[in-house]
Amino acid sequence: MRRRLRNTVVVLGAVGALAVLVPGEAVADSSQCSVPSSTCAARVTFQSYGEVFRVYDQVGDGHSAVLLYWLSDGSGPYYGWNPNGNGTQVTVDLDLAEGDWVFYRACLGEYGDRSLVAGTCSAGVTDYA
Amino acid sequence: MGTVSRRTFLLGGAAAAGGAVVLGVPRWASAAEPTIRYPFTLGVASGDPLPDSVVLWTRLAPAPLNGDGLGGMPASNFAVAWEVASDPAFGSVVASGTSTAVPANAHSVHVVAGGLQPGAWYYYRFKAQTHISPVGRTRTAPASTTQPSSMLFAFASCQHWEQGWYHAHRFLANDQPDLVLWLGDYIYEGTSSQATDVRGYTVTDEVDTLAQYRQRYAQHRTDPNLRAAHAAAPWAAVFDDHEVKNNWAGNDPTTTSPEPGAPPIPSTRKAAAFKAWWENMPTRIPQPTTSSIAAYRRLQWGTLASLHLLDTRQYRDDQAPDGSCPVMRSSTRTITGATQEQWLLDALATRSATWDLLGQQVFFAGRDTGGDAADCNDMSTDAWDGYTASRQRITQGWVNRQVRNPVVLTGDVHRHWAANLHLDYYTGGQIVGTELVTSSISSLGSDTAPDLSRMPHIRYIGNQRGYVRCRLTPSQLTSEWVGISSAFQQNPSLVTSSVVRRYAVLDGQPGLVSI
Repeated sequence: MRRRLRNTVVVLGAVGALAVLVPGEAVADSSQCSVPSSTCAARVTFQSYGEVFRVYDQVGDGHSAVLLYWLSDGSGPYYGWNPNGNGTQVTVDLDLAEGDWVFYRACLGEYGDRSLVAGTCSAGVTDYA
Repeated sequence: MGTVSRRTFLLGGAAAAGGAVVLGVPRWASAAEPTIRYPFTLGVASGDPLPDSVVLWTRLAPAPLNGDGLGGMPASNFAVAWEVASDPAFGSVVASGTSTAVPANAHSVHVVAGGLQPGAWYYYRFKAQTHISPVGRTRTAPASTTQPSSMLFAFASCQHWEQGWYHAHRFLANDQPDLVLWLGDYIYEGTSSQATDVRGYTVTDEVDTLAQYRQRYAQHRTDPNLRAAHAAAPWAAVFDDHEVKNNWAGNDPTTTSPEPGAPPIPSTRKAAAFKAWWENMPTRIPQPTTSSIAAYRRLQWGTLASLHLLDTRQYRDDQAPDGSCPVMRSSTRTITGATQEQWLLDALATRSATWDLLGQQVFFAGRDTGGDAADCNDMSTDAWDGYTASRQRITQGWVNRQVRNPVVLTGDVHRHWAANLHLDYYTGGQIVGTELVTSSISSLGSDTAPDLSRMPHIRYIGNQRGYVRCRLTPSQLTSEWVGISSAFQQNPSLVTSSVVRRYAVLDGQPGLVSI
């Protein structure tokens, strides 16, 4: 997987707090929550540096957390399953060209038959390598 | 036609834009433009060539699959520069300009690049902020009074996104045709069945809003083979039913229905579907502003060919009930509408070209798989069989007008077909025309062979996915049905194409000739 140096990222919080993150540190550039977002039972983050998805199971509801993503070559959805239960995460590494886009969603699913739970997928978001 | 240097293209906008404004913003761009990521993810296209101009198309979409259908673009206008050159390195730019991509049109751009030479090949590209698009290849039509020695064109249809990979587009692009005719079903509006197909929609419900239609078009354009086919040659595109709703019929919202007796499609849905189609096609037809669109039109290829692009959806009567011979054969029914029918017949009367090609959507020849004239249960009520009076008027019309070489080009049916045309498909008799039917790019098709002994005018059926490639000369049309080895195999190195059938149509002799 291609690695790039990321510029220092400055994050200004809501109350004006200033944090400085160093290059190479795991930074989620975007995230999605499964529906309903208020419980966010499945949370997926994308880190542009290294093109890394993290799939979090955040609620002990008996469902798996699922990542769905589509690539710029017209393929997808690809799946990233986290069947390991509440409080766990699964990492999915991609290898994308710099500047390339990926569109993804967070959903709940049943790992046994690899089915999605209807109505739980997030709207989706586009992020970039 | 003046020549503009590459340097002029890169720098020439500065004066018009009032000079440099902000570091990182191109000198020619508006200071109000938010900075965007690379926006040419949907590629470039060209279409509807005339002897002196061609339509250039692109759409800015840095995030093409976003659910709002806006491609990740801010709600601002964006300047899009374009240039046309006679060489792929853009050393000799022959036309250039700047267009404005607006949010109301999903930042699509339709440029009529004029002042071009007839019968010439060109290269084109766009620029937005610092981003430069891929290069497209296009051409103009020959001058109206000249007869070119040949024309290579391809026609294709039916590219269900989920049901197959678009390898056929790759082979079509490699053919480098003079023109590509798209005969409908560019998208499918239906719900996703991605669990069993090769890839999946991001919008899994049936699309029926402008945002959803836009998003679905964008998803199709993320396919690199489709983008390559658009970039390889100018297209002339028409829509069929799935760009709106399966089997929709008619322009009157009070009678429009997807199936006989079904509720009408809301005019707002048709308006959304037409707008999204227009936004995504390289066409010179006017932008639709209502639930109708002026889609039928004509292109001329010198005196070699007249290409009549028909609309068999907007003006048709509702489909007949299944098996209803009295309705299907009613003398008052139409699939084109009276105005379009007269427009076609008037054009055919001019005999302005050696070949008259009717590019249209649904099966024209009789296709009664039962072969019993008294039983209409084995015919499609959606095709011309469901509108036999319409077919009769047009066929008799070209016979009466002594049209020398009428050839109907068709899509829709997901299989290759070839047929001789008659005035009566049960009694046969004189061959009065020819129909060439392309299979689908990717949409699944039946592999159950009908009994051709009941339809002797049909000469060929093929079950492969693919397209049709035609070489047209003053003396002969040579048609090759191209099939691909698989639309299910993603790996392009494992997919091949081949000519699965070849026929000729000879000048002045309607009908298929084996070669």
